[in-house]
Amino acid sequence: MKRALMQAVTVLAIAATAQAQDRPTDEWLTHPVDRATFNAYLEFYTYSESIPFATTVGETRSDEGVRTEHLTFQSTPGMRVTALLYHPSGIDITTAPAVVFLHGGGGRGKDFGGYVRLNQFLARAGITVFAIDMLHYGERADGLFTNFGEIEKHERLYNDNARYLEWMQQTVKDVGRAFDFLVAERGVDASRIGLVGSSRGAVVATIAGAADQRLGAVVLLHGGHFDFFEDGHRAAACPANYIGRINPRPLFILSAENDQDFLPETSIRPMHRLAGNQATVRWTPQGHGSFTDDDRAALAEWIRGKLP
Amino acid sequence: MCPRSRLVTSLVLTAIFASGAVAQTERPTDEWVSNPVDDRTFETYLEFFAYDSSVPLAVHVTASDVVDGLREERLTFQSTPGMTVTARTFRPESSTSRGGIVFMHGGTGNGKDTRNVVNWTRLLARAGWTVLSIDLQYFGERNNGLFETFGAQEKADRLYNVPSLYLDWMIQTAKDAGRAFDVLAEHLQIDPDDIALVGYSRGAQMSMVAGAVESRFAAVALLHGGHFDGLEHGHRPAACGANYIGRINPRPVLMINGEADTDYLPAVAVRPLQKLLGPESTVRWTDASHGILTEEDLSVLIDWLRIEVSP
Repeated sequence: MKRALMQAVTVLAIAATAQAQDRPTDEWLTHPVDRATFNAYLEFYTYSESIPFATTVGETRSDEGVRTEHLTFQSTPGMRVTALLYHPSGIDITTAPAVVFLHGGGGRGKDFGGYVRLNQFLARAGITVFAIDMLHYGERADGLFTNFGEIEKHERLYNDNARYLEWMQQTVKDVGRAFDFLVAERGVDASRIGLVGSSRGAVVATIAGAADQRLGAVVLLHGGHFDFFEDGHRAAACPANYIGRINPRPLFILSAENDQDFLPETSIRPMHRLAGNQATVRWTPQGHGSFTDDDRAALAEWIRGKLP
Repeated sequence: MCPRSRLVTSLVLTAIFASGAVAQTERPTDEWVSNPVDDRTFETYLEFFAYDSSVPLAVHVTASDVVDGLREERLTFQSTPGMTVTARTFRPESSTSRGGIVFMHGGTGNGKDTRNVVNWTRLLARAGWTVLSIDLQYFGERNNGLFETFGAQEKADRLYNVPSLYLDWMIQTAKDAGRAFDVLAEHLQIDPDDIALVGYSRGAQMSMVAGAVESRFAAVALLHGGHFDGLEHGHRPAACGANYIGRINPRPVLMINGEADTDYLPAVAVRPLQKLLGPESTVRWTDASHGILTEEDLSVLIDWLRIEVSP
């Protein structure tokens, strides 16, 4: 009786899992666009380097070995990016590796506590982190979202194909301009700058990392193809059409076996298969967005190794 | 004429022809004028010109008047999120238009309010169409400081020869044209099967792209447009009119150009584009210089529009 009950529970669990995995997908996950199409995409991610940064520097503080500056800079004409620059106190910033950091889809953007702690950790490990707010998030909230709930974000952005592609273009440009800022305004070595994205930021980083070939290494934390509420996007905004183009530059992917947002079978493993032979994949037993101390340590070690 | 005078005249004419030849052949061009991108690349471009039709148009009429039998309104509408287009409508006061026209001005600081643009749009409205004349981004009431003098060199330095910014502008303008179409169809009840796009000078250059991208425009008229103007020296393929103009086909195109155009040089900037037009196209050459539309030109335009989109 007990064994029969256990079997029934197991069947139900498997059935539920199968249903959960029966998620929308698209053709590019198995057949990414060809090189010519990818090259056509690249035209739309270019920006004018001659636009002045018009930098503003706000509060600067030092805390437990990390110096943090609040900054804004002009990315594209009239478009200002808000950012936090973390770097290890007492270390010449021009001698340290650096990463641009893209947050997940939380309303606080770069200021979400989990990201602040992660970025402080990386800074203490000797890595400069330039965490930027993506358009519509954090200090760049412009009213598109009112509660930053999943339904709202998907209805107003992620599942709105035209707007999502526009947002993707702008964010990729913002990443490129953040790269430029680190080099031009802070003297960071251009050959030692990488990109880290988490959750939604990882989806964007997949595209930015492929589009901006200057980035020396790319890290995708708990990203994937579609999250649970997504149902479609344009080919040009599909990370499956980009992830393989990060190769041969090094790529680190941290994925969670119990991710209920980006489902492993339908949204993560198919992306891994496209990642190329330079990718390092780390699976953890956590759920979406949860980092252990080991994860953080592995991340810092990998970045230092790839951006020596 | 004495032999000496004849010689001088001959030398002068030779010099004029020679300088003309130099000017006509030494201008920058690009590979797409002779080899436009293939269909697949064009389809790829289209992804980036798509806009969200669910964004509210938020049409706001700021002024309304009747002038010489025309109802004229100033209005704004939302094109893409947070991007407001300033515009004017002109339509017959005593009758209802079936067809409409979206008009895009040339590169002058006053944009849609430039005197000749206003005169032409009024003329089209008197012929029966409802005309929606929009300011292009950075021009007219949408001037945001990118330009200070609106001189040709400034425009070239700050926009036309900045490939990424120019492409962004091209995309925004094509979206604005599509949204202007929506305003005519949804707000002014114009038959969506009878809406044409008319562009003048820089607006014609934009209309080649917008007309190809937005296939709902039943017909496209390009007045004194071309590939590169006199100061342009490069753009991305996705912003190159040569990659679009042939794809307006099978919808009809009218091109009116001047043989004496010193901005869009006929031999290098106009005729090569005309070779890319489809068979449904009409080309009219006049002896005018850049931007000069005669009464006869305007009559040709109106007659052509009457055939393609009912007023």
